[in-house]
Amino acid sequence: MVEFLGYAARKVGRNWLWVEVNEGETLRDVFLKYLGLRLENEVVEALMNAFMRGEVRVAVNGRVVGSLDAKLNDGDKILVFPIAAGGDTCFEKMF
Amino acid sequence: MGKLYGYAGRILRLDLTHRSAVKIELPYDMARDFIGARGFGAKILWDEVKPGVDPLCPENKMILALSPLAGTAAQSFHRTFAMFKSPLTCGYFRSTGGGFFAAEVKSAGYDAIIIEGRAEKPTYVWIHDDDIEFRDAGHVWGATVDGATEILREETDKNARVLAIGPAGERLVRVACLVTDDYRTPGRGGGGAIWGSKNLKAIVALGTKKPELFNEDLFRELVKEQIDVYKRSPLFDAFHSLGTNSVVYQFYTLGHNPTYNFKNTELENAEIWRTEVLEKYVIKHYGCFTCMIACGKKWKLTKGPYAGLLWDFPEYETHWSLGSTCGITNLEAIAYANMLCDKYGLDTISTGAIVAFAMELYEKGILTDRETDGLRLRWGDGDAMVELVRKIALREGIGNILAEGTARAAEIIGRGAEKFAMHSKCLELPAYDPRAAKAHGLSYATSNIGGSHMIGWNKYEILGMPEKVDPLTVEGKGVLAKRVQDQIAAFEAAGWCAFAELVQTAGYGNVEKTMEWMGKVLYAATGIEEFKDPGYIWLVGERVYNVERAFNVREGMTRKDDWLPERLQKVPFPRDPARGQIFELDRLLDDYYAARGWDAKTGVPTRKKLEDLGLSYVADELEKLGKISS
Ligand code: SF4
Repeated sequence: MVEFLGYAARKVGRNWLWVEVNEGETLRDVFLKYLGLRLENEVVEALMNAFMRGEVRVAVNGRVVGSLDAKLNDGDKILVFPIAAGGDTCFEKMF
Repeated sequence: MGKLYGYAGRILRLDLTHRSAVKIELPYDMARDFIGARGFGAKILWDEVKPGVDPLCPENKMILALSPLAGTAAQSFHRTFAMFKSPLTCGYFRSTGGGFFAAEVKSAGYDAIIIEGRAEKPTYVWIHDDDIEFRDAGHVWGATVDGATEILREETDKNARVLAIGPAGERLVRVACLVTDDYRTPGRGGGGAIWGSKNLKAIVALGTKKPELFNEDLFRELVKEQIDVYKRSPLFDAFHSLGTNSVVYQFYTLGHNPTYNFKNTELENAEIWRTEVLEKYVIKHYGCFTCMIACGKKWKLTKGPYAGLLWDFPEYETHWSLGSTCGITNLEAIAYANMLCDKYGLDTISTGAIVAFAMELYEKGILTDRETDGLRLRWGDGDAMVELVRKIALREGIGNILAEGTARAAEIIGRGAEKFAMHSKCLELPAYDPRAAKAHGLSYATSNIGGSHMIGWNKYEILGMPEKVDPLTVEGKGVLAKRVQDQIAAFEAAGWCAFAELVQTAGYGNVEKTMEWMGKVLYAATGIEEFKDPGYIWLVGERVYNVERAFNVREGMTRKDDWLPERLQKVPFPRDPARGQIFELDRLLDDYYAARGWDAKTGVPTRKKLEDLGLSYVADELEKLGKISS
């Protein structure tokens, strides 16, 4: 399950998405392969860029990860969240 | 030794027993060695409060101290720092709150106020520039903070700024706090009870002076840089639009928001803390004196039994203390109890933690309807929580025992209640679980003021910034906890707001840049050469931390007091991300004392460490008392 918080949820247009990953696949696969299928390219790119700039964090099963190369297992919960979540101006600035 | 710029240059000593006000010239050495605010408080308490003094007796003192940048154009340096020997911890304490009071005291011409003695009857002090009046407060004794504030402004000046206590402080509730006219609170540690014990209801201040700066041009340039960095910080808009409400749900998800008195970490209906829910209540943004972050929010409730409430919003910690740790997800009840705490003058963190403690005792049958006068303290019951807050504030029924704080209440109640008292050094633990962030937890255990999240708020572990550190590992956490504690001590010696520092550090991307900027702006304001060197500012942070520690050592505290409750040391964390984790107290303490250069057996600073920090006089006194060897 991928859960989005704050502006990330607003950008994606929903709070949750379910994706199925294969053994050994990484977070990068989730973003590029699976989220790419369900969301506009521009949205996925914006999320990944914000992650690179350190403005959006990603946690797997509640642990914040430093890179998108983190390997995933079946049933993992992925959380995509802004470093802190506020109102509209922040939304515009981040994405 | 040159002239001191930036500072007001005076300390005001208020002796309530003799109704005397003495203005003392600010010593240059003290400014250079301790910068201001928390630094001044630590130094003056060390010098003036004798060991063993009862915190609620006239010999205890409270130091209100400010930044040398208070009242200037620098952003977010206008906080009131209150330092005292705490009636909760019986050790050194510092608490801090924002608002406009500090800037007003500075305008009246003071860098610090020393409050000592005990007034014969309820009194308030009216500070109007150089004129100081001790006035009768009999007519506002018993009034809520907001009521008293309104009356005192009417009889002094409607533009005056007020710091006051409510009925809880008057009744010596050990978790009572000081509250500003805009409901910013130096909240923790029982400062309100100190004022109550001194028969001091309020200080009202109004000033007309402006500090003279050492280098106006450089200062202006640095403030411009600060504003630019704030604006480009990834945290700025989040804090501006929702304050600390921007992280409640996020921290819950990351396992930092323990529920049910630390018994659990999950809560049904926790989604109510998602930002899209919380932002619906906001009707107004406001901030402290000269702070563009303006993280304060006014909430309005339009439905339910508490409809009509229009008040300051509950902060992150308050959502936890009056909410999740009591199993409560009724936002309206949380907002209402938050308002009651402001009106009565209660620390919301400790008060909520006490309610959670009482709810667990009720669940276990240690407290029954007989002791609670029929109040059913069931988990999740927002209305029962509201009623218990009132009872604690007014020391009514079971509230009279709970008003002593969890540690003392557990002792009075007995029957195994102490197992459920979640505190460190008698200060109730706040909204993070030490098992899920080890350096952060280590700061709870070793903090000189007890279980505080602000003394060592570990941005590396909690937010993963400016660098990400795995919160669950033990290795290297002594060094990390020390580093953050010293950093915060330095920032607070300069009187800076912790949120604002975080915003600026996120904008720069590293702490070193922030420290360098702060040193430069302090230099531009004061002209003290040493401040130009960021290494020196770090040293002041460590110096302050060690003086605070020495104060506690002199009071008899040792390694055994650097402690966390058994539940956190023995019961594994029940869910991801920290599933199975416990808090490895002894291992972490060994690592921490080594990093600090303190004696590993006793947790006491060594003579060498104190001398390296320019604190030989502290080492001499500790040696005289047999606390350290030569
Ligand atoms: S960030 Fe918030 S609490 Fe800090 S000074 Fe600014 S308005 Fe006050």
